[in-house]
Amino acid sequence: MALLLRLTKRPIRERRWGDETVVFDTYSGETHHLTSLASAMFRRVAAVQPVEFDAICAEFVGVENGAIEPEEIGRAAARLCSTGLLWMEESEA
Amino acid sequence: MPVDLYLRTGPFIVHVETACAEVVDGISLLYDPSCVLNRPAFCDYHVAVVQPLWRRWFRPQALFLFDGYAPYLPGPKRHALPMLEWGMNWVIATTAHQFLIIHAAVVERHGLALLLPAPPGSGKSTLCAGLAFRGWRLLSDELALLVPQTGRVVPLARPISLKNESIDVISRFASEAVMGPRTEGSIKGTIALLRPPRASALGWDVPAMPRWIVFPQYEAGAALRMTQRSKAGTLVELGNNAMNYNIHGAVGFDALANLIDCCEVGDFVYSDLSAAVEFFTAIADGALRGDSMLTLASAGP
Amino acid sequence: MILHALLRDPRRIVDLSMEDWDAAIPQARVSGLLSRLGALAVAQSGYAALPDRPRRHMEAARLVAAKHRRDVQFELDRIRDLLSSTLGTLVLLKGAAYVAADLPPAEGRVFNDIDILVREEQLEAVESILHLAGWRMGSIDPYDDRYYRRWMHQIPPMTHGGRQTTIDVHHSLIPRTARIGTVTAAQLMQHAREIPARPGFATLSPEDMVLHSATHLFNEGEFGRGLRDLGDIDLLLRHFHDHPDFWTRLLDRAQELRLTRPLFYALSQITRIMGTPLPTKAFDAVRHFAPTAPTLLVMDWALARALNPPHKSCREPFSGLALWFLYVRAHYLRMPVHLLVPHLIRKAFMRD
Repeated sequence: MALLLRLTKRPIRERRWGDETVVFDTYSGETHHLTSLASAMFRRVAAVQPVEFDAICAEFVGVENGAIEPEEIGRAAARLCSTGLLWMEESEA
Repeated sequence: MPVDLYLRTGPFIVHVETACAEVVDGISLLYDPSCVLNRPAFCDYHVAVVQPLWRRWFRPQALFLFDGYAPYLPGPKRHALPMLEWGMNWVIATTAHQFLIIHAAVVERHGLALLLPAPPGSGKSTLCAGLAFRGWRLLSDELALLVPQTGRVVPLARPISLKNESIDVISRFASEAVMGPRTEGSIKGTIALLRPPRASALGWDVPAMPRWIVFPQYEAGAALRMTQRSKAGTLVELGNNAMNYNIHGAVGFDALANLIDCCEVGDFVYSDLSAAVEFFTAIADGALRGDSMLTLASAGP
Repeated sequence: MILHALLRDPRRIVDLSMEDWDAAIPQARVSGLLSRLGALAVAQSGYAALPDRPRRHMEAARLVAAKHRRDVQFELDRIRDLLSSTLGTLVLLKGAAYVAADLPPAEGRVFNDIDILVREEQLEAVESILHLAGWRMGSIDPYDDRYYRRWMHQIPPMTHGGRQTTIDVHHSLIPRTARIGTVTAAQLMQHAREIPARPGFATLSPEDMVLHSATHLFNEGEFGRGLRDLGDIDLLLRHFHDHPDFWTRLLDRAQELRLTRPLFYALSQITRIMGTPLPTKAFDAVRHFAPTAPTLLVMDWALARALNPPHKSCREPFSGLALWFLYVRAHYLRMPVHLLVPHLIRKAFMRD
């Protein structure tokens, strides 16, 4: 059993400046400003999805720009899911 | 006896009905004659500044009406003219959704617009007035009207609202400026309205292309400095500062994103108005040569 | 009144002079009909040639209405997520119903609250579920709270703390004490129709929607948005006009629910102001629902004033008196006399 992250199916628009991403959710009418880890995670999932949560952890933990803990990744993922930009599901594998 | 006046403010024609001498005299003092029209066939807005009957003699009041309804409570009669100005801004901000309306001052030089979004007390009106009297064209001191489809900003070219110390600062800085009477005791303190330079009034139908978005902050005694700020964060902040961002939905997001894309964005601290005005003028002139605002800023005064 | 003329015959929109527009736009704006006027204008073949200034005002109003529809759809999903396990299919009323079912009155309409219908025995459960999810009743005077719960057909409105949207939970169409009889949620839900494009939601039957709108307008004494609400009924009637047996069912149901009087006022005012086409048999039948001659005279006098755009260009003598009369009448219908007088007195003081 693995946790997968997917991009939302809602119609969204995004713009990127440097490391930061701004996403507009047409369904809820909300605008989200993503920085650092959340921004990187969002872009990663948007580029190729679904992504296994474990794979994301492996990629981001201990990256040069600061020792990121798995809990931080978990929290960022949870926030992205609660705002509706990403969603998590279990795979059968 | 109530008088009917017809004012042009940028794209709008406003019918003002009033019997308050403060308003009638104020308009003739602060508005260029070319903006005061003969009765047109169609007016975009019908507003009035009236005196409620029951307060005609005891602490007389003035009340702003739009289509016969009062959007906010009456104020003392001596504030009748500022109430008209705030009222017109309120009406435009709550109905003119053909524009994305950002709460910011806008001035233009060489066809390029400088947007100064900022909360009250930041010194944006002082800076805006200073620039308007040193060769920049005033588009507005309060509302940036952005056309989503073209990205251009459209002028309103109305009197600038100054508060407290900035009234004296501008009186010294631009001695030729025509200012209305000072009125005390509003929630904002002492207010005076400043007549825009003639060139600004005459440019009522000339849009400008945004080039710089600068968040000013007046800080007594501080050295002048311009620092970079996050473009992503600026988009969100402008959205929060825009009166009708939510109404436009995805179109509004795209319009702000495009705006941010074609602008340089910074935070600006200043204490000396002349130095600030010279600085921005140098930036505008530098833009013609292809120089960026932040390069010039870091090069030092 | 130019607005009345345009509602009656929208084709005249393309022939208006600038002076006409100068009167029409403010009348529409104060009546809450500017976006609807825009929707009517867009449907005319000469729309592109309309003068810029008035056209921009209508387009701006339509943007607001479109935003509103998006918001309502989002809000309906949130409410369904919250309440569907307790209530099953959610029955929507008024504006929310029009938007969810994509009925003509949804076009160009902005309304504040989402209205749902539940059985009286479900009220407490619904109230607590909403409360737990962050919906609050707002600081309400204990008198008003008791008034609502005892005499009204709904609990006080609940507002979501974060999103500031409001939900009105109704358990009947009309207040409990109404002299003209009561209409329970159960009676209405029997005929409710699921919305195919919006699973989990239902509207009232077409005839019940019309009766609800008519009762709401003519019995609740609030005429601030009267012309717009009348316009809703007009659009509903035109939409359902050709549905088989619609008119027969409308007349039968009005008698069954004892709502013939508000239906009478609705149809007579609609034909007067908007020229809505009614089948002859409906017209003949409805005349029997009229009040006695003296009452009819007074009501015609009052309604003629109350259904003008609330703009000074449309003000006729005694408009204020007419509105007061209709307000009092609404309360008379709702409450026994011995309660009515103290209630009105209290309300008069609270207004200051």
